[in-house]
Amino acid sequence: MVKKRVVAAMSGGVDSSVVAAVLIEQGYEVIGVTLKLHDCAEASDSPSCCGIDGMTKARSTANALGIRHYVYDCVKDFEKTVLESSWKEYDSGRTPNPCLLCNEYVKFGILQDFARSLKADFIATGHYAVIDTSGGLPVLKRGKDKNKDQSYFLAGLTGEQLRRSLFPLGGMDKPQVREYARRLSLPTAESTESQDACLVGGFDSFAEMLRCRFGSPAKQGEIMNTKGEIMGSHKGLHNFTVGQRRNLGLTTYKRFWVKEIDHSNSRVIITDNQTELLSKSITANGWTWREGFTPSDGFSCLAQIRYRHKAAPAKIYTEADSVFRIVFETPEKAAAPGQAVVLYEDETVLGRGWILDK
Amino acid sequence: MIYLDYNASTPVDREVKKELICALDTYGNPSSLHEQGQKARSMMDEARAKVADFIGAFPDEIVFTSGGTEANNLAVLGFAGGSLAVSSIEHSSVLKPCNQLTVKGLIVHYLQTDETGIVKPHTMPKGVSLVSVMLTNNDTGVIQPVSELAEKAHTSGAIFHADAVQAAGKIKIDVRELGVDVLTLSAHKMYAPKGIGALFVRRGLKVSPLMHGGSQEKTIRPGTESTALAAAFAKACEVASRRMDEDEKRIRRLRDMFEAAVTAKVRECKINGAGSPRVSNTSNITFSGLKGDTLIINLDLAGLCVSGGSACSSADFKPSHVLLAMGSSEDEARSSVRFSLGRDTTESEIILASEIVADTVNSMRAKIW
Repeated sequence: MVKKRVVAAMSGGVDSSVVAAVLIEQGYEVIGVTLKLHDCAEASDSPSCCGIDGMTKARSTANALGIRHYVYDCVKDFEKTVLESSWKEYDSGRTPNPCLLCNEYVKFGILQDFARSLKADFIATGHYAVIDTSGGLPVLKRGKDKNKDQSYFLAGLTGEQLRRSLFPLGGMDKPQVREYARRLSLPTAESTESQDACLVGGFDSFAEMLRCRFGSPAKQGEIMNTKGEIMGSHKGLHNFTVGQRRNLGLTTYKRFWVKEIDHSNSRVIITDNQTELLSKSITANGWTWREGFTPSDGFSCLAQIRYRHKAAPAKIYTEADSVFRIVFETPEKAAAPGQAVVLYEDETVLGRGWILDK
Repeated sequence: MIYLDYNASTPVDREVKKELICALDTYGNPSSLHEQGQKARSMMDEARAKVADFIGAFPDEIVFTSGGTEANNLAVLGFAGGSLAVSSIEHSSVLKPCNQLTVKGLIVHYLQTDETGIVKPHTMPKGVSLVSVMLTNNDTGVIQPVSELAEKAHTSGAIFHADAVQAAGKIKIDVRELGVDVLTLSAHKMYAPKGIGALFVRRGLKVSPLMHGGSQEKTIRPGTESTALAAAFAKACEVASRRMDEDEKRIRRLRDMFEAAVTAKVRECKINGAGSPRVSNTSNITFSGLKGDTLIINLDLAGLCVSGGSACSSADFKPSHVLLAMGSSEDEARSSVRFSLGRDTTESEIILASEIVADTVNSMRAKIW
């Protein structure tokens, strides 16, 4: 019997190494591919996630597993679909989510196309999430390891993308993955957790790196409290996100949080009252819904507004053309425009939208 | 598996392997004055004489290096005066040191090629101290008019360097006939192990070293010599001289057969440098509309080892600067593949390889997946 061919995205970390090993055990023909997302020189400061260090580790893992390994150059696509789009968001006072963009456009876009051109049936990644096709249509669910669950980052994948993807770690937890790697003596068994700090290098932040990269002037302005009093000045709207408490640049003993980013006046609005960060509801657009699901007004679900946010009970309502309003049962804190809101029904992803407004 | 990437590296010849293993028993340091040292010293002398003989040079004109890259760096950095001229189709081990020199304020002129892949002799700038043009291009196999270029360089008072890495063992090299002053060789492109190369430096010329240390290789290349690799390299030169003519004929027939088969089975493909004098083993083909890196991976998965050009640039799939210099568009250059044959290539492999290429290209074009 001809083995089914899978392209395994290998970053050089322990998770994706185990992915390749598990698939081999399951009888697939596995081809390891490492995405090259930026030029070597740029990655030299951060040997972590996607730099040359990862390529070398992925290659030696593939070699140890006896599978082929290739590096696929996505530098230009990553620049355009992830970095440039993210900067546009920051520059308009919003908080982008580059990881979702990278998944939707690069890993499950360009890499999936590449896999097709190699006549591969699937691509596989080390994400902690589950694709359930038992009901016919593909459904994305939270991973077994609730602490590592990455369904939030994958919620924008279409049914078509899910049908061509495998997440072999979805049913495992991190200690199991490590144990698996140790048992097979994979070279990456003891590697440390990668921080998703692509390209930050010597810059203060991801946002500041993007600003320098695209040569945009920083949108400087005032920091104002909710009473309209000026509390200080800031060096650029891109350095702020709703709910942020640290690095506000204020000389005060009091705690303040960013309540709002007023893009048109280049102003950051802060508050010392946490209840002012609460939203009763949010609106979101750019939705991708689970295949076969159309939200009806008043549909009950759980809404997650950040990666590390406990999904909260909410109801879905149509607001306008392709815009939906998510009304929380009890108000939620610090919904940041630009971030993804992911709706769940129990463990199952219903859809992903981009937060417009509180 | 069919290996058609001899321009990237070659398998070690059987005689060479034997020589290497024997030579490992001579463990002395060639600089030591005692018996073991003297044995090692004479092994180096013999090796040097054989390599020199291979290119019609005197033994004292040979400097052993770690390979082609070091030899090219030594030539460019060691002979650069205020300005130099190199062809735009040189290997990165010539072009990158030139970039370094540009940063330091030197002027580098780039000699252009036409669409045939040949550097035109009439474009020689005046007043340069060094001219460097390769004897055979690694991507296309096109042979450059080195003797003409050397003459032009000498007329304008420049030293002439030729990177002969891809020519050695494929065409006869005589440094006097070519009229070159400096010439680069690499052992692993001619069926010897990786890790050794040589720079021919004509008597009377003084090259500045890149490293400093002992007095080995007349202080030009300090560091204890690799006697075993030198012996292996020398043996490879001997073997190459002996069988070059026969190899050339046999491989040329196979290469031409391959090109005829591929062009017959595949639409819209172009052989780069086809009309120019080429070494017998190289075939560079543009398959319009395809992504070269995906094609090369698909060929690998089908059991055919080829590359998109210089192996030194394979991690990032940049279009071949050689094809760009020959007037190809970026897309065309990106959809090009280099097939390079060698001593072990057989007729049945060539037939099978042409079928694999045709099937892969045609199915990628039809987007059947």
